[in-house]
Amino acid sequence: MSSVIAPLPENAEAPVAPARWTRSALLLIGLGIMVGVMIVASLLSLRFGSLEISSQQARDAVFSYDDAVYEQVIVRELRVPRTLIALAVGGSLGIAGTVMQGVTRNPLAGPSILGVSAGASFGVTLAIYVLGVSTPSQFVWFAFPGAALAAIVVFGVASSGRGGATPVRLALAGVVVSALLASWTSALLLLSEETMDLVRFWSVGSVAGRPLDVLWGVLPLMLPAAIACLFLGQQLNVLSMGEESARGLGMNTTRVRLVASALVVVLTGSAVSVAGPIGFVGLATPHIARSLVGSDYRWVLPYSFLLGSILLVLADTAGRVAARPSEIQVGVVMAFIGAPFLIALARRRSVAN
Amino acid sequence: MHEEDFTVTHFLTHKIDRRQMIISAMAGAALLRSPRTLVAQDASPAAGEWTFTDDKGVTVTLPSQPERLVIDVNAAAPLWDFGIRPQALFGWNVLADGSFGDAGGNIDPEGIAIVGDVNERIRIEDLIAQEPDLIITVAWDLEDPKAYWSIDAELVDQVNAVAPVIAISTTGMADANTQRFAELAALLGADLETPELKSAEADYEAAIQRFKDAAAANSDLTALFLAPTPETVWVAYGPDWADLNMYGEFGLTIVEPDAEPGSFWEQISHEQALKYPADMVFISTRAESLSAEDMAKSPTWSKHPAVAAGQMYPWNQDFIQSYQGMADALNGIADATEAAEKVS
Repeated sequence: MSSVIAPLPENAEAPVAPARWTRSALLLIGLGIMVGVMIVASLLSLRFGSLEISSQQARDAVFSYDDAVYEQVIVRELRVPRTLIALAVGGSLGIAGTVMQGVTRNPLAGPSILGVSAGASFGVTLAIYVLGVSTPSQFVWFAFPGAALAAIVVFGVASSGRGGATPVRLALAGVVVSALLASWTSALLLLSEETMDLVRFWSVGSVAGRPLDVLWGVLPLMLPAAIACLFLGQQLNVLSMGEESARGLGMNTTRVRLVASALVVVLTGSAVSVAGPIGFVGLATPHIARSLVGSDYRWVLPYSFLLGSILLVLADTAGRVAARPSEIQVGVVMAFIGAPFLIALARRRSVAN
Repeated sequence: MHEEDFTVTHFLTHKIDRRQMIISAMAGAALLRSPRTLVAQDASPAAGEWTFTDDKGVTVTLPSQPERLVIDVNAAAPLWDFGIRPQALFGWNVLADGSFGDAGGNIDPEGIAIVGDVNERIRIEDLIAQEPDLIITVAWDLEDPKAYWSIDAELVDQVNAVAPVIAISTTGMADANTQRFAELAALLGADLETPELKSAEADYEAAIQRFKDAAAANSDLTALFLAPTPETVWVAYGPDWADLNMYGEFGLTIVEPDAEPGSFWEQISHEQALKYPADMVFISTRAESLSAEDMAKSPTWSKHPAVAAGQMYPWNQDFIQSYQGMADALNGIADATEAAEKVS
């Protein structure tokens, strides 16, 4: 496994040198700038949408809300919820993708690699088909168990036999389980046109028309998991040195992987529950973050959270503006952005190796 | 042989599964078993022959009057009112729970076989088992020879191999289409002179007159026809719908969305709720549609003048082109027009 490319981490235990202070200060300032960008992106998301409104109306909606003014109602009742959902979902997927790439030492890993997205989709589809569940706020209770069960099966398959759950075994088990679940999902959809109608919108991935209740429902899981991930930086740095080195440094790699993966399941499961499966955010965000701040996971993790939020909010806004008077779901927009990104990524030498 | 060719080309062009091949073979067998002529375009019918030219211009000639009819729900509902009883039903509006929604009209499903539903509009094996003489559906598109309601384009040939398919239009004018259903029903043996039908016809004509009067007396009112869902809203483009087209002809002012002719709808986001102000909003009664209560609670639609005024009324988008079906629809809209206030 040591042949897998692993960016050399800067030694975190090194004595603090003036140069490092400067670097840390710069990265901290950068983090502040990222927060600024996130706020700007959110404001854009409030300002622009399917209906054209004036800046004044958007401002008033935030600062002096008058629910008699239609444009302000749109901002408050439609754009604020979807912006909050996009921020939370994008951030969760971004940080989950980074953790997944760190844990598996695979630059093409995404949060879906553990079968989580496929599991959530299957859970929802099965619930619609068997139980006739039809409202998005109910989908959560089936997406989550589906995601968790899929991840447990992946871990079970990967850790059976000698050698335990290595990154390659995890990836393979994840691919197999995802493929299996995806085909079961397709089978259910083919059996039932009604299920297809209900699942279609959800399964594309969107932040439109999702009640905020759904977000509040998963936030108690999502937020602690995201915060916990921020503290994984040191462990991921060590893991990225390779299995042997990490063990040599006294790390219980299996335990770290298990904990990190559990956090990824929680983050992805809750993101998928709220917005449906949205691709590429988890894959692309860590790469953008690394290109900005280098390979130190202690910095990559917070940056990827912010970048994921920014990416999804902007993509959703673009989807609303591009198809007036209708809208394009953010899942579709991400697929459009994501495909060229993936090609560019694959062409990069470091990955091709 | 024709059926073999079909299977082979199908095999080459599609990722065919075994089930498809079996279906094709069964359809072929059915054709061989009943040696009847399907279509005779130019030949004039011989004595005892039954012939009908449908709204797509397809002429079907059968050796005798067809008895075993397999009918899509949207065609069966008007034919039922004209006295035609189907052997079996199929189509989009056979819902998963076995009901027909508002598309079914007066159909009593007791003792009628079901050979297709919303999940699989027409099941060829079940269709063959019914040994139909004739298959009847409706058509939203008269030009495309493969466009039949509830029969997927790729199944049209297979279904036609079991029994000839005819379609009555659901575009154009609903009153003309209603007469076409009456003609077809008479040809299929229905007695149009029963007292019930005569009185239904009188009611229908009265409803038309009442509708025209109501529309003329309230000519400043505008109407919007919607199929709203939680994620998006479909605004009906009147000229594509036989019912809406007729209402327009009878004097109702229907707000026309920005849609291509033939597309039936314009899709808008919920943010665009005020794009088309109107005095009356007619909401599709299909199960997947938002209800009037949902619309009244929506932060955007509650600002629409008609919704705010509570001037929301049901629209059966699977309108039934019989005397009874159209009289109900016309009277419903006349009621709304008489009750509604000018609010936009």
